[in-house]
Amino acid sequence: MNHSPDGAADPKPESGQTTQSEISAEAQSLIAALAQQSRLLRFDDDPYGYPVCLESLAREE
Amino acid sequence: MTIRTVIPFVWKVWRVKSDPALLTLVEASSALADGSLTSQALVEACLDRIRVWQPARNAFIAVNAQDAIETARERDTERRNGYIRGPLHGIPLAHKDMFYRKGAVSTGGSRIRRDWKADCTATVLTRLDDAGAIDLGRLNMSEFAAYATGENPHYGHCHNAYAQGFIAGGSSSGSGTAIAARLAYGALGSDTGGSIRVPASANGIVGLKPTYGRVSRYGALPRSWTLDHVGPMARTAADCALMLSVIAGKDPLDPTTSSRAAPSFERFRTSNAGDMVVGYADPDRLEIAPEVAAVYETTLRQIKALKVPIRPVQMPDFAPMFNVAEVIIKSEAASLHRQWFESRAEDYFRPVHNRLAAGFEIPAVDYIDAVRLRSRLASEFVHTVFAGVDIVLLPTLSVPVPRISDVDISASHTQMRHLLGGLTKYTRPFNLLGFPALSMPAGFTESGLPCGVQLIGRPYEEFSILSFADYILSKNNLCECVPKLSILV
Repeated sequence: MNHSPDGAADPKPESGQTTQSEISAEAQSLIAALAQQSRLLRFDDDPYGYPVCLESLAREE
Repeated sequence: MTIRTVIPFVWKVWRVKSDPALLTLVEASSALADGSLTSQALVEACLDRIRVWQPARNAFIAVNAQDAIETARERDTERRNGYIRGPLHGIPLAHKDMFYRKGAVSTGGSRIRRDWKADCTATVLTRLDDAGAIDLGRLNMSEFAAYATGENPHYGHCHNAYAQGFIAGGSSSGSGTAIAARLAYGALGSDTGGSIRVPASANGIVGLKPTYGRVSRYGALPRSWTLDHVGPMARTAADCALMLSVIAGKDPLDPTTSSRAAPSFERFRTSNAGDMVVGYADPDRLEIAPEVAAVYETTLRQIKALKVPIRPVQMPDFAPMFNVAEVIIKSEAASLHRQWFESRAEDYFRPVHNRLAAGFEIPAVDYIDAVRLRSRLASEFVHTVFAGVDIVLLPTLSVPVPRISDVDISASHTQMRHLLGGLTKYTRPFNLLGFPALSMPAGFTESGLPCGVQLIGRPYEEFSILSFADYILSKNNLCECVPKLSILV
């Protein structure tokens, strides 16, 4: 039952185009995007962690 | 009886007689209870369809045919003797191959874990077993739940239920295809950035990502513990509600679970969808393909025609949320995979390996900032978007379901990032916020493939979105659509 319609034993050739610089560029762009958000964080933000915050945002049952 | 009640009744009787696999989970449960079907008949109906569909769609990694039939016989004997284990007694399900069962292989869709046997059983499987469900087999998935297209070179690509050659969506690809093709009555999926909702949309079924903490992740393969969610995928909202009522609730083995009681199925039955206020994003402000926009606008018109209170809502920019989530996923996945990443690099699907690689370049302080931002963004969303509405309506996918050949992995890393970003643009933010979100069928695009819309609820209000989905789907009958195996594109 494990056969694929397009052949599990013969997958498409894997990428040879990705370079370490492309991967590093991705990480750097993420870090840059995050920096804009991080500036919004204040010293006392999120003192008890996300689960406590989530509970406080829920309406009464 | 009116014409509106006679037609569904006749349709159900016809399905019981012709092919019990065409019933919904709730209908199958009712047929078992009234004695019109046996559990063995349900299992055999699913196995018959699996034999026909598997060569063309590859939804399963492994099928437990003999075990499932033997368990079904046991459940039938128990029922005859008056012993009912729970609300899923005798119902055949199948699950993404990442939920551990002690002593059994759980591949996680990977070559690395091809023969690995679990040393514990996932709490969700224990709860389904205790409720009487039968496990038909292990479903295909993206390697390590890491890819939204659902491709898998190790076990063969899983194809869309509606058309061979199109992606099933991922990472719960087999779950999406198997449920749409009526190979099982329900399935578990996991969702870190859209992995339940993307395949649900692509295959025209209902898939629910519950609130963070609502369902235990103990014994589920982790990808990113901050954003991982486990949830049901089924043909209807009622089916998902029934499964959720079984799997939800506090688990001492998963300290992140909420102490709130699991929502009861009876509560779902008595929920009133007509009372809810729906907020929606202006389609012109969404970055979606025209075909997707057309389906989204049709859904808006349907809701308005039903006189449901609905109003436009100013949505936040989702791009920053997407990026914050990406930082968390990449950092946590890099930590989880560090050992294999170094020692077994050649055993990964290359694009999965590439996605992991960037995680090693993210500084710890950025990761911690991203985790801290979660509370701030969740609060802002509740206090702005949810200020005047109970439910938010958004597209699930931003593009029509692509062909497998269009997501060719020989494309560059940058091209793949763009494609994957398009698939999860509107799903991933709700993993970050942790709010319940589901995808339900909404129509079809020009290629004839399904297109879903997403409903988002406030924390712990899964039944609000499930009830509303049930209400809309009862009007448009999109859950009745059954894909045909003969459609080859």
